[in-house]
Amino acid sequence: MSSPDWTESFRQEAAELFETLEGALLDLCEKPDDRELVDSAFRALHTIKGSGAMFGFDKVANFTHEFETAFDRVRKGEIAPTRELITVALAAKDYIRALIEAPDSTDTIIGDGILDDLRRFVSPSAVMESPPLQPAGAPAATDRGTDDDTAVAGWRLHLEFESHILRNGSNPLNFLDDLSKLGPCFAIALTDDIPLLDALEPEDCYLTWDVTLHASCGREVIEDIFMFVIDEMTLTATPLSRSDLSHPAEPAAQPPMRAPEPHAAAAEPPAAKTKEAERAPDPRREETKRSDDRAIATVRVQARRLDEMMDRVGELVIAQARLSQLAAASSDASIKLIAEEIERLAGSLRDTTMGARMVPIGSLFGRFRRLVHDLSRDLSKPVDLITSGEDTELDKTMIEGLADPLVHLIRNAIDHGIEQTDARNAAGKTEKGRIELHAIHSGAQVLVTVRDNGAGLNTARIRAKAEEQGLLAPGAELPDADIHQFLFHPGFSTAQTISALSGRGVGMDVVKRTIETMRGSIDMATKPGEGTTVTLRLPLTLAIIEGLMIRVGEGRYIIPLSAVEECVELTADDQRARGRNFLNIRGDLVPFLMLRDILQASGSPDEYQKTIIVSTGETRVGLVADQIIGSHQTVIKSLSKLHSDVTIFSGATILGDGTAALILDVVQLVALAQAHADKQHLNEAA
Amino acid sequence: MTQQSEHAAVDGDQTIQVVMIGLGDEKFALDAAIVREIIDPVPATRVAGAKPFVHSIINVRGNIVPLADLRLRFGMPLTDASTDTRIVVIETQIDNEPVLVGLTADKVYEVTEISRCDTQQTPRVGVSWKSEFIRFITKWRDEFVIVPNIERILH
Amino acid sequence: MATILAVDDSPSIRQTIKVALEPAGHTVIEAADGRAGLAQAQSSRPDMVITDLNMPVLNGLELIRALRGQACFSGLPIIFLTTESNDTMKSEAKDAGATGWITKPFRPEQLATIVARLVRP
Repeated sequence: MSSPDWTESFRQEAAELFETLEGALLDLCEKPDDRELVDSAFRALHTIKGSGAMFGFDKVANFTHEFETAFDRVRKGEIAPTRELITVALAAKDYIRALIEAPDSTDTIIGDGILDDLRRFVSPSAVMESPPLQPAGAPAATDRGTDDDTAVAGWRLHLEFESHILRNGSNPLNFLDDLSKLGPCFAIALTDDIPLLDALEPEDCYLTWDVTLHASCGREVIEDIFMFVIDEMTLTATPLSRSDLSHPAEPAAQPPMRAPEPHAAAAEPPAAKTKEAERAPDPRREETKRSDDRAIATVRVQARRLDEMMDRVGELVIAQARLSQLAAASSDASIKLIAEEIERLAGSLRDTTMGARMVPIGSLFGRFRRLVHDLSRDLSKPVDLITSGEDTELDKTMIEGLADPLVHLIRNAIDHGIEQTDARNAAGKTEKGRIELHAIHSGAQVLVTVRDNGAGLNTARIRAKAEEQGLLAPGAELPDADIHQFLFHPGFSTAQTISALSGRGVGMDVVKRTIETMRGSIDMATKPGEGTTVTLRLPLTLAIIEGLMIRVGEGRYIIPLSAVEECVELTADDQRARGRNFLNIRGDLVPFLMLRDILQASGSPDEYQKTIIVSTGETRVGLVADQIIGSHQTVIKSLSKLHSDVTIFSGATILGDGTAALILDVVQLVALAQAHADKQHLNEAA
Repeated sequence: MTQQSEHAAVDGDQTIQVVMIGLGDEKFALDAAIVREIIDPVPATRVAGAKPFVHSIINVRGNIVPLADLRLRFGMPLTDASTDTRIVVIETQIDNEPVLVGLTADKVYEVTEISRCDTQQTPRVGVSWKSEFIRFITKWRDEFVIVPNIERILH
Repeated sequence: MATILAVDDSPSIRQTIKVALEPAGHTVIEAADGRAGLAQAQSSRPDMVITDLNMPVLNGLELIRALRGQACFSGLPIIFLTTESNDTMKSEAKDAGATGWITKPFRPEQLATIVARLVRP
């Protein structure tokens, strides 16, 4: 029972059950009459208890048993799930979780306290007593040991079953088999009750049995065999002494295990049974070997295996690219054909694998309900959390990576954004604050927004803090949006009082960095008195992207295709006007960057330079390259720490010929182009 | 990795197993414990804007590995690759994380043992290397051998 | 050997059932709730059903009643998993048509014994 894999799968399962439980409990705060919620919470508890006991978590099982007992009264409608009760129930849930995750550092005193609270809520007058569960491994069935019946040499039994027991899946022949395993056994079937054929119900049991059993076992051992049907039968058991057994007139004195008459066939040892006879009237058995491939709709896979699978697929895609390159150079048509086939297969395998890694963001949103509940209570600010777009799917590593940043953003929103109740009243707002958590697909990106309807960013305070930290010259002119950007500065915090909640070291700079390591970006919009919206833009996946391969000088580079808007040829006019790096794209002036300069390319430029128009959100920038090679399945590999100072590349990949190619970081390049453009403006103005 | 090699250096009979490489006219001893593999030169991809001594990346069994040139750190002239040129892939620690780095070597001699007892305290005349780049200098077959401090060099 | 349908919303319990019964040569097929269990029983015609009582969608009692309501499942051994030692649950399940039960926690060999008792080669 203590196999590590099993406990691990229990832990995983318990973690999910806790989420269900917590979700249901929190929902109950809002909808205390919802039976389905109560049932769902109860079921989660029940499963935790049952599985906990199975896997040796006895403390968990015992505690949960009491929790469940208490909650059962809610289920039965005897008491209402009040807010106070839910709060205790949440604490109880946390305690169980601690018992599972860190059993050694969990003090049972805490658990006892919680149980006392629970009992107080559910039955104020009497403290409930409930017997602890049997520890795992203790036999649930009757002990097989013999006690005061040891002197018995055997038993004479009379068995009568209620007529319906065959229908419920019990088979008297099986019982006789089991009896015969205890010792030599002699059975006579009594056929007196069998009716005439026209009155005979084929599924009823009409036989009764007299059995002589030569086994010095206890009565409970025999009763154990009949445990499932003991209420649906008459079992009379008379102990036999040795003299009884040796009596020559007794049928038992005959050589055991011989079938004296046809009706007693059941007393034959199991091996002697005619299988055909037993199977023939039972046609459904013929079908039992049918495939069970529809059995499992979902399977649980360790996250590590998914990661490994993605790595392998990455390697496959790289190897396939090499194959395609060789095939392209080959004149053998059949090689080309195979290479194409493998390319197609590798592509669809990649999509499937990435799909398997996609997780709906709702699993993450669910966690924040508790956070909001607790924060709202601790800060005495009533807050509603509204979530939408829970079905939006993201790579699972992104989901994990998003947890901390979102916790921080939600904390900020409640702690700093949402005003105290009196301030809200004074401003004519609803007393309850609102936090909206929203996710939506947008092209190859996912947008996650955290919106509050609080006071909005306090620009003056941010400015004061920036000036105090020497980030901004006192009184310098700066648009509000730029001032807000100081929030992303390392170590920048405007919290006037360091509350226990925010201002605990992790700042917006950490949030920003975390999002950027996921190749995402963060935007902030605020309106005084109306609230703040933080938008996170994230790529769908981290591992493989569709890229556009270009050549600059001798080097090949990859641009993420999701950022590419169009490719245009750089006209002679544009090239002549190199003093002012703007392209005219259908009337819009778009700044451009000569990649040859930025990438320090050697050799002479191609005669006809190509421009790739890329965009991040609103901003478009042209990147000028020597050649556009084409689209390329790009397995993203991160750059070494030794290259952490190089910002214009977001990573590298391995090309078909085995060489490495760098992936351009479009966000950085756009920022660079804008800086150039701004400088140009200044120069022109001067 | 470092801790291991430091231990190796002080423990027991004070010998370390090393991979002896040639850079320019000098011999360097790399702690064998950090050497992952030695490969023939492969095409490198230049990384624009990177520090000069880690100017490129290479593909080592599907991993993107930075290629470092110690010669630039020791102010030695660069020479073109020869048939003796190899890349020594080592694993070192940067900010407490293991990192693979390829080091260009003009020649790889052998795996051998050197003794700390032969440590030369005095830096050699005419050498203006940063002392922090050198763990110690020892003797091997009557030649001076530099045991570099890889982490400092790559920092 | 026999095909046994395990119906439980807890994957770890289903896994335990598998581990307990597969060494004896049985094939264990799974369903995560009562409705899926019913569908599975109808399509796979197991030799035996092991079901939890407390499950979403269609609970164990409802599953047992639904199975017993169909002539083709008459005589099919059905045992249910229970954590309750109280007899009301048992008698309710028995009334619904269950053949027997096993109390959680159980050891794999206990389950194997019970299965061996109800399913014969």
